[in-house]
Amino acid sequence: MKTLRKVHTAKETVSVDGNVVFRYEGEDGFAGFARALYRDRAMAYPKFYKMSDMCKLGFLTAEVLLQDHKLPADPGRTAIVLACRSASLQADSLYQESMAEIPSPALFVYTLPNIVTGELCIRHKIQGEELMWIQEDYNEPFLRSYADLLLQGGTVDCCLCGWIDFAPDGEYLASLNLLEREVL
Amino acid sequence: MAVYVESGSIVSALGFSVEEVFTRVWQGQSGLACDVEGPYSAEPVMLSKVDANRLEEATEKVAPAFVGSRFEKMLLVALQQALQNSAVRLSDPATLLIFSSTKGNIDLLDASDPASLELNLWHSARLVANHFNAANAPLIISNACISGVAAMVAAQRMLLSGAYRHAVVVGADVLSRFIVSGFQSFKSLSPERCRPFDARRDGLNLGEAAAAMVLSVDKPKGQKEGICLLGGAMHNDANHISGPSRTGEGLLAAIRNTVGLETVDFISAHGTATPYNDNMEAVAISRAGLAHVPVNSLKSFFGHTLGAAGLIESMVSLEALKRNVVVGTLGYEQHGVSEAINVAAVNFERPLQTVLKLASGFGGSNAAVLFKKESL
Repeated sequence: MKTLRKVHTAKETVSVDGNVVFRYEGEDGFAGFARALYRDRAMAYPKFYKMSDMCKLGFLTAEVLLQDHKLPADPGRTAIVLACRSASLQADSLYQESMAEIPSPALFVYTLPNIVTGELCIRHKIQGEELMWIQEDYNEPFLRSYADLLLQGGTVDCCLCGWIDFAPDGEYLASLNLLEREVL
Repeated sequence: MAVYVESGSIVSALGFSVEEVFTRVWQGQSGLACDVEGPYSAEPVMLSKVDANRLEEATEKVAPAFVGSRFEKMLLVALQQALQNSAVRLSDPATLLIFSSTKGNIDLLDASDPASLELNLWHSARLVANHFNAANAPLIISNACISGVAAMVAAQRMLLSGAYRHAVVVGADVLSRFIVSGFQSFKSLSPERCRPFDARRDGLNLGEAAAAMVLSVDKPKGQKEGICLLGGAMHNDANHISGPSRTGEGLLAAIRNTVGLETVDFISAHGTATPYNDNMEAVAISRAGLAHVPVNSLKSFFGHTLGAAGLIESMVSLEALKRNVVVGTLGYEQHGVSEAINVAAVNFERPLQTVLKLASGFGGSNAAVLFKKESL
């Protein structure tokens, strides 16, 4: 298994393989950062604005991860193996607030941690295996070893693997690896 | 090397053991009832509820000192039951423990700050794992309605990799205002008992349950026949975050990559009884060349139990596999999906070697897992 690229998003900064590629200096926290990065990448994906913050975080990080990269032609041969600590708790509390008046289906749909995976699959046409693990702390070696099982198993050639967490207090971290099966 | 199903358990509205639940299912009893008392909904709603007193008694009996939520008690009782008929111990470093749930303690959000630790799935998993002195840190899968099937498939893979000899998989979800109102907001709940694959189906019912399955690479002792978990697959539709693909793309891929060259004798569908889900499944089953295979849905017995669904429905289906019977789909009368799949309307006997369990969920997720009887 080889790591083609690693993207890290935290504290309004994105880095690729350890090099900072984008930094937001404004005052609007994650919302401002997400908007600025979306514009910086000249994206035209209106669904982005409806997403939960966890989904926006994963979506933007994956955009940088997969920039100029060609996934396997068969969409069933790319997998996504992710983990998070806070599940969808941030989206859950927004939906919970809406329950006091009119429960919002647009908010309810984001109250599952694997919706971010679904968003990535739609955006990048990925139809292979996808799995969302919940971990108290980011256990990268475990996720990589699970991804390796999939790659070794021969059912996938490529795997997006890592951590996408957006805590209810607004702290966030995404760290994604682009992994490929080593052809011997 | 093969992965065997050693034992299992069910905690549900229809009873607190596989035996008890299966007997009721075979008699055509449903755990669904119209709930008018609340607290989950201001309007009457069909729900499948675990009896609160019975859960307390069961917990008190096996773990009098245990302090935990309703969700955690259901996990604990399900695990305890599955383990009591097994030689596998969670305190053994060769045993892996995997939890499956969609929303865990979300019912506590009514009264807690969103930052409370108890709202986290890892918190519940750790609490329950500690009760059993689990040697390994528990793993948790939260992948919407495929969580249970995905957890079994992941466990099988990790066992075959040689990292562990045994795996205990447990799934649960509890009813809450949160979940009930969410599905109400989606307008996906039926006001009556749901009718999987039927022409008059108009939505799903929600339920709560826990179920556990003990897996091992060791052959079961003292039995002529065992059940193997042959394998499974998960595939995403990459189509819509809350609606299934009309062409059944992801589920079809999951079925194909699970079944391989095996013969499928019986299919336990996801069968939520929403118009779209059941039709999508019928399309995928038909495209996979399995339209002739008897298929049922157990949702009209338990409701949709979310993270427990894959496990509870697998446990019931494995019991049917052992007894060589197919359980009829309660509520199915008039065929109501576009493909001529072979929906089992009533109970019948039939020699069975394999059962295919399917699941699909929000996020475009689809999963399949295949079980097979083996002579020992």
